[in-house]
Amino acid sequence: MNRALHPEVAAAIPRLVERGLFAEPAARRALAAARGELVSARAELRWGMGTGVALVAAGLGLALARHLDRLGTWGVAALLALAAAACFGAVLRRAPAFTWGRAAESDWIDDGLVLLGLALVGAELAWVETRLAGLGDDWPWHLLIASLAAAAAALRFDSRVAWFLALTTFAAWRGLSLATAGELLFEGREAVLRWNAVAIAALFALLGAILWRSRRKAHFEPTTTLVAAALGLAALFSGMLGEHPGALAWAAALAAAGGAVAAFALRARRFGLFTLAVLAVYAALTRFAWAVLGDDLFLALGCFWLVASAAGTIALLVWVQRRFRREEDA
Amino acid sequence: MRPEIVEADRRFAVRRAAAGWQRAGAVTPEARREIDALHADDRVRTGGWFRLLFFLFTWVAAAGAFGLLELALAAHEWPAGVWTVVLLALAAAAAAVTEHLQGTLRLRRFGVEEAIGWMAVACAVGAVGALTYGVLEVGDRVSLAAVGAAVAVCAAAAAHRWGLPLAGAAAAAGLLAALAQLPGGRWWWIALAPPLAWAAERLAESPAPVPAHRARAREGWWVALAALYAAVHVESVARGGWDLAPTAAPRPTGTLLAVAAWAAMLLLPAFLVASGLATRRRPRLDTGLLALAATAATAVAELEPDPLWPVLLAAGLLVVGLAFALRRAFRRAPGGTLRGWTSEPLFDDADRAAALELAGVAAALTPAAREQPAEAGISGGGGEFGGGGASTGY
Repeated sequence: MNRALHPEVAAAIPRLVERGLFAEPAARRALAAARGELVSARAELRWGMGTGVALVAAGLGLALARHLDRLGTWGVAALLALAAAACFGAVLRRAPAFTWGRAAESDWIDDGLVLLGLALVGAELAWVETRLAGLGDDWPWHLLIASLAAAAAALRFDSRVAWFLALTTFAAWRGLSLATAGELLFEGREAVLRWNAVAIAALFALLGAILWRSRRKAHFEPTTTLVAAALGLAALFSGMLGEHPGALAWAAALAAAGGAVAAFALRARRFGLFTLAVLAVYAALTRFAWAVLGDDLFLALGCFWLVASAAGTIALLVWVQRRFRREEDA
Repeated sequence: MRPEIVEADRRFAVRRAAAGWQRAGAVTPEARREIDALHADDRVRTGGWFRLLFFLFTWVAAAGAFGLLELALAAHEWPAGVWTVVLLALAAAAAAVTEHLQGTLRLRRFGVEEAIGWMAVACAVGAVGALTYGVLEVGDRVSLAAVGAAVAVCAAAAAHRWGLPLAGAAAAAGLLAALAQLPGGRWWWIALAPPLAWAAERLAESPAPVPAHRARAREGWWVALAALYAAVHVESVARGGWDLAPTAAPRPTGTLLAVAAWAAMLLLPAFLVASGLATRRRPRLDTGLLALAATAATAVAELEPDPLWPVLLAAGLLVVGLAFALRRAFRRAPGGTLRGWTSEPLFDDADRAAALELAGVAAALTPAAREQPAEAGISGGGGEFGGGGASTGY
């Protein structure tokens, strides 16, 4: 049987080569890919390396926790430091020279090694903090230091995953993670978390703006802005739930922030961010509709609201999309 | 599927490939424009995120309209027979609207027509449910089988006519759900999932069908393999006996059956990985690796090794070591290619891959958040091994 991954593409490439639109050797490579004769395993290799790193980090954490009392403080610390240094040393040997711009394509294994090194640094910091209380009695400062270490590694090795890890570890230091997202949205301990999330969102948004304006690691800016927007909008959304006095103020803030993020996202052509913002604005408007109509009337007229608001949103999105297309064509 | 859509989808496949070539610097923007002109697309399409928004808000509007209908006509008091007829009429109306949107308005991968197409499927399946549960009152098992069969038929029709995303998966899932209601449902799955997967893979790799049909066939392939793995899984065998239906009484399973289940849980992923590598089929390789990971996780959960850390550490080091060995092998191979595999990207969408990786990092490596003090005053959250995902507290 004639097996082809993309038969239309495989059929088109020879015609494009004949017309001089597609040159060798890229055309030959593209043809082999379309026919399924050449397949990239890059994603599988990167995911495999990441899985290995996660397993090592988890195993190491469990080992240290279990044998806390039997291990020599300095011996373990030295071992972890050596292992982390070996990881970073191996990456340093192969990594391209530092640049504030986007580095040349690096080895696919380097991101995994950087993550492994950061996992070891994290374990080391937690170990030292617990055994020596060297970083303070009450606060888990190791998360902040691990975050800064991840940021430094991300900048040096131009690793977007390390940068993302730096941002999420910083958020974890302030009590926010995927695990606490549910608490932030639906449980009672939200007040502290919400303000923390708003503050971190503002800080990350500022950081993103600095990266972009200074043209230094500007390609980290989209990730930074996305994390900022997700945190900020989730925090504002959590504030408007329920019937407490400040709910409408939070809804207004969500609508305003969502609108601003949507405008920015459209200008920057970031449609994932735009989607997030549109959903936030819609949720805020629905909250206002509920407040204006009241519980009973909203239950009765809610269907009208859903039909009208969704139809209006679709019409608005069609208009936005057409305008965007016109700008693209121009 | 309409011939004009078939032709447009084939041209769209080339345009998408050309976008990847341009991203990789293999063709110039001018050449890309000429390629696009040579493969003109007369359909109204939109990008992935807008498509998602259109789909979502169309569903919201339709749900609101359905609620209005129910409120206005006091439909909750209608007997099941009336509901059957109304749902069938709604299904026919939604199908007609989808035809209009795809045909006259030329919407394709736009979200709106896909949402309405799915509504047609949902209403038709709902009509079958109302008929079997409410009118015929044939019992849960027969009703579930009928609903499963209706999902299979309607989703397959939607996949064939409109190429709706996930319709292939729904069709396969509906068929398997219907089979699960039969006595000895597990055997039906074990007997029929392999030929279903084989047929789906042949269709997915055949040059004749349009891209949308190939994609739907691939969805069906995934569902068939997932069902096969679930049917032979040791936990599911131990809990469900031979029958898969919820009402079936579990039968005790012997050691021989447990051994057979473990063997199947190992052999299926091994076959997929080996054949995927040998024949350069990424879906087989990826599915096999996922199944292998599921088998390993099941083994850890069943055997409960104490201590766990040497297992995790050894597995992690093994995987990292394997990655290094593969890297070395690829670097030494002529042209960086090993049996048709390369470790370099091939005109893929790097941003999409990066987004998936970030999601993986968020799920696996982000440390657990420290405890925030709920009230005034600071309380110690304690040390945690974090920063690399090992969020284990002392």
